[in-house]
Amino acid sequence: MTLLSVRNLEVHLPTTHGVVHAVNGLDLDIAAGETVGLIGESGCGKSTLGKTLMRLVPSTGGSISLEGQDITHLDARGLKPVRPKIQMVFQDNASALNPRHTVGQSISQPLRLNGWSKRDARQHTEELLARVGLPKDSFDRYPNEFSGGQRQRVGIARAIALNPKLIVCDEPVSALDVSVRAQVINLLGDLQRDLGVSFLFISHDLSVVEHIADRVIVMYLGRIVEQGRGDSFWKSPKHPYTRALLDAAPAHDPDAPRAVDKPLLQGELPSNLHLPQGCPFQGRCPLVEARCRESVPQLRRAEGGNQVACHLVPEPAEPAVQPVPEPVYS
Amino acid sequence: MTDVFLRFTQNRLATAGLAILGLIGLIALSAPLLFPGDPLRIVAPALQPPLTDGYPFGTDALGRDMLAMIVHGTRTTLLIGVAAATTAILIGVTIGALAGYYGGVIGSLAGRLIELFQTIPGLVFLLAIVSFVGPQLIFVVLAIGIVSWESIARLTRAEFLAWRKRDFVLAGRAMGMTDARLIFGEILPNAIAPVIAVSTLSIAGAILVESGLSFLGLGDPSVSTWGRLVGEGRGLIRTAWYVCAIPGAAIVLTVFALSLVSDGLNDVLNPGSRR
Amino acid sequence: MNAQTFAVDTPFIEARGLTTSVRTKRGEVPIVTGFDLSVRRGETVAIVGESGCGKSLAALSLMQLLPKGRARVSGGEVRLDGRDILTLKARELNALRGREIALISQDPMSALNPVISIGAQLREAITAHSDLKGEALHARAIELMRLVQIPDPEARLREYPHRLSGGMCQRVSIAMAIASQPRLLIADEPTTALDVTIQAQVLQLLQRLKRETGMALLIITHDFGVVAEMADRVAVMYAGRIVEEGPVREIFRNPRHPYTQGLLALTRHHPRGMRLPEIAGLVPAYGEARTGCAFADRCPQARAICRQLTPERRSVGPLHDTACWLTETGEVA
Repeated sequence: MTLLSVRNLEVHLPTTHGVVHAVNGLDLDIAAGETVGLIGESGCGKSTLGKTLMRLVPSTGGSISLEGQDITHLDARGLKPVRPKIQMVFQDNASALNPRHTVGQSISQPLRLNGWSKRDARQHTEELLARVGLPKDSFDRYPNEFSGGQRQRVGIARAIALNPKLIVCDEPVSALDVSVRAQVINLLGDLQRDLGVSFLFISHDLSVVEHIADRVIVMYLGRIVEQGRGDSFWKSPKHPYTRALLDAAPAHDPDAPRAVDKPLLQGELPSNLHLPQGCPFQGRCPLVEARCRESVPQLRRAEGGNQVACHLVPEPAEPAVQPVPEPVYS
Repeated sequence: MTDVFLRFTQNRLATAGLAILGLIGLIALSAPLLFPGDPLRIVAPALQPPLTDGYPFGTDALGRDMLAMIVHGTRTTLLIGVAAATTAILIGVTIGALAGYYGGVIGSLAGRLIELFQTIPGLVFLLAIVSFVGPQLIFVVLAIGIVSWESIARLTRAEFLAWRKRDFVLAGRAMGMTDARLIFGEILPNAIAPVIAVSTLSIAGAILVESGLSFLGLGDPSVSTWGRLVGEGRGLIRTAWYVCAIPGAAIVLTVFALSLVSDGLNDVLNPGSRR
Repeated sequence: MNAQTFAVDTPFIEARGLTTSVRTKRGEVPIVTGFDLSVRRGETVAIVGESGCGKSLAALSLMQLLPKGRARVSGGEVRLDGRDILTLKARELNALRGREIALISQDPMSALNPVISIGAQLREAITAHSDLKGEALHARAIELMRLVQIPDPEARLREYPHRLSGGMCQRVSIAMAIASQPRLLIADEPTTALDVTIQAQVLQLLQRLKRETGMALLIITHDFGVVAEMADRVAVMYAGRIVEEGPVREIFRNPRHPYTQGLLALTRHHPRGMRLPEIAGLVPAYGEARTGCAFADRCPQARAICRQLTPERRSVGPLHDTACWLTETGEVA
C-alpha cells in the first residue's frame, strides 16, 4: 500500500543570492513499512526534500499525499492530525534537543501536545526510553549529560512517541562515532520490524544505505537520476553519476586499486541557482552528448531493473542489448 | 539554577557587587524606619558640612538632612531604575524576538523599528516625551523604557536568529507547535540568559538616565531621587561640593555594583559554557 | 613499499613515550599516553580512532603546535631526523614547521583567513621559507595551484576563500602546506568535511603529490576506508593510547585487538535485514581516568586482568604489535 505519494514536486526557495532550485520535478512513492534510501552529495536537495515532505519547507509546485490525503496545501489546523503520522530524526543530535528541557520533557512533548495527561505521558516516555535502550533515570537529565549516540536515541524516542507511519531520517548516523553507528542503525532496524514504520533514510554514506534500504534513490541537482530495489541497485547501477558515486566510495580494502590509479569523476556539484537546460549531470558527465544539453532525460526502466534518467542508457526492450559505454574521464 | 549561583559566587567581584546591591536594597526597604517622617523637612541650619553632629552627610541649602534624603532617595531611584528597565526589557525582548524569529513582513518591520530607535538620540527623544506628557513618575518611567529598549532588542534578535536555526525548533514545528509556543517555550528560555545579564546593566542605565533628567530639573518634582539631589546642588558646587558629590557617589556606587553583577552574570550565563 | 624496506630505513620522525596533557578545571589530565610512533621517509602512516581518542592532539604534539597554556607535552620525546624537537626554541621550531613538517586540517574553510585573498595567503606560505619575489613568487604560486589541480589558477588567486567550495579550499590549504616542500605532511581528517566524490579527488591528489615529491604522509582519520585507500602502516588509537599498529594489509587481514576487530567488522558488507555487529557501550569521555585496559568495559572478551592492569604493546607479528592481554596467551586468534 502506498503510504506517501509525491508527484512532480518542486521546491524553489528565494534567497538573497537568487532562487535556489532545491527540488525540480520529483516523483516519489513510499510503501507502508518500506525503507527508502536517498543518496546524493550535499547540495543535491535531499535534505530540503525531507523537510518539504514534513511540510517544514514550502513547496512551489506538485503535490504530496499521505495515506491518500493531499497535504500539500493544508494550513496549521489541517496539519494537526497529520503531524503525528510523519516525524523526523535529525543529523545533529546536539541541535535537535532543547538544552533547557530534560530528556523526558523532550520525548513527552509530542504526547503532551496531542492531549496526553502528564502522568500518561511520563509513563509512556519511560517505556520509550527503555525501548531505545536508555536507562530509566535519563528522564530527568539534560541532553548535555549524554553522548552523541545517546542523544540520537532520545531523538529517535521522540520521533516514535506517537507511532508515526513515516520517519524521515536525515543523516541520522553521520555525526556519530563509527563504533556507535551500528548501535543506532540496529535500533532503527528493530523499530521498523516492531512498529512497521516506513523510513525515508537520507544519507551520503553509501554503505549505511546499502545495509538498511529496500529501495535506493540517487538525487542530483534536485532530480532523481536513478532508483532501484536494494539488490539490483548496487549490482547494476546505470547512470554515469551513480557509477561515479559508487566508484568514489572508499573500498575498505587495502588491495583494491587506489584513487591515484583510478579514473575519477571530476568537478563539483554545480550551483542550483541556475539550472542547466537538459540533463542536470551534463556538466560533469564524461559521456555527454548533444541531446543531453537539449532535453531533460526522464526516468525509465533500464536493463537490470533500475529506473534511470539518462539519454544514453538504452531501454531493455531494444533488441540488441547494448552495453552502456564505460565512462572515459579526461 | 543552583549550579549557576555556585559559579556566580566564585566570581569575587560579582559577589561583591551583589553584596553592595543587597545592602542598598536593605537601606531602601528600611528607609522609613531609619528616618521616619518627611525627609524633605527642614531640620537644621543650611549647608552644614558633613560630619556635623547629628548630620553625618551635612545639610543642603535649605537645611534638610542629606543622609535622610539619600536614604529615602534610594527607594525612588531603585524603583524608577527597576521599573524603567522592566519596561525596556518587555518592549526589547518582544520586538527582538519578533525580529529574530520571523522572516518576512513581521520580521523586517520589527527589524526596521529597532534600526529606527537606534538612530534616534535617546536623551533628546526622552526630553521630548517628558515635556509633552508631563513629568509624572509613571510617564518618566515609561519614557525611559521607551528610549532604552533598543539594545536589548538587538541582543534578543541576535540570540533568536541563532537559536531558531536549531533542529529542536524544527522538531517542534514538526510536532505542530504554534509560533507562540516555539518563541516562549522553546527559544526564549535559551535566548534569555545573555539578555538577563544585559538587563541588569539596563537598570543601571535607567538610573543614570533618570539622574540626568532630574539633574536638568525635568524629573517628577514630587519625588526626591539622587539625580534630583545632584541637580539641586549643582549651583553650589564651588561652595558646598558635598551636596552634589554625596548623591553622585551613591549613583556611582549603585551603577558600579550593577555592572559588576552584570559582568558576573554574563560570565556564568555566557554561551560558551552552554551546550 | 614492503615491510623489509621499512625496517632498514631510519625514521624521519619518531615519538617515544609521548604523553600530552590538557589543563582542565580538575587539573592536568593526560589525554595521550605512552604514544610511540614513527614515520619513515616517503611512508604513509594513518592514525585511526574515534572522537576524543587523542589522535589530533598526538599529531599536534609532533609539530609542537599545542595551544599554549592549555595543553603541553608532559613526557616522552619526539625526534626529527634524530634531533629532539621538544627542547628546541620557538625560532628553531618555526624553521622546522613548513619546511620539514606541514599540517592541513579538517575544516578547510576555517583554515583559510576569510579577509585575505587566496593569492596573498599562498604567497605568504611560499615566502615563509624562501626569498622569492615579484614574478618568480607569482610563478611559484601559479605552479602550486596547478599542482593541486585548481582550474584557472590566475583568477582563483585573486579570489577570497568564501568564493571557493570546501573541496577547493582544501586544495588551497594543501598548496600552502606543500609550498616549502615539507618532508612530512600531517593531514588531520583531510576529507571528513567533504562529499564522497570530492573526498576521492582530494585523496587522489594527496597520493599523486606524495608520488611526485616523495614526502611522507601522516593521516589522522576515523575512517577505515581512508586508511585502506591511503596508508602503508596504521596505528589504531583508543582512549589516548595506540592499541594496535602494523602494516595496513596485516591489520585489515589479521586484526588482533578486539577494538580493531570490532571496527573492521563494521566496515564489511552486511546483508540487508541482518543486524550489524555492534561494539557495545560508549566511546570513553575525553581524558576519562581508569585503571586497566581502557577498552575492557566494551570488550566482549575482557577478563579480570584487563580491568586491573594496562597492557603494554607487544609484538604479534612482523612489524605488528598490539596492547591486549588476550594476545599474551594467544586467546585472540
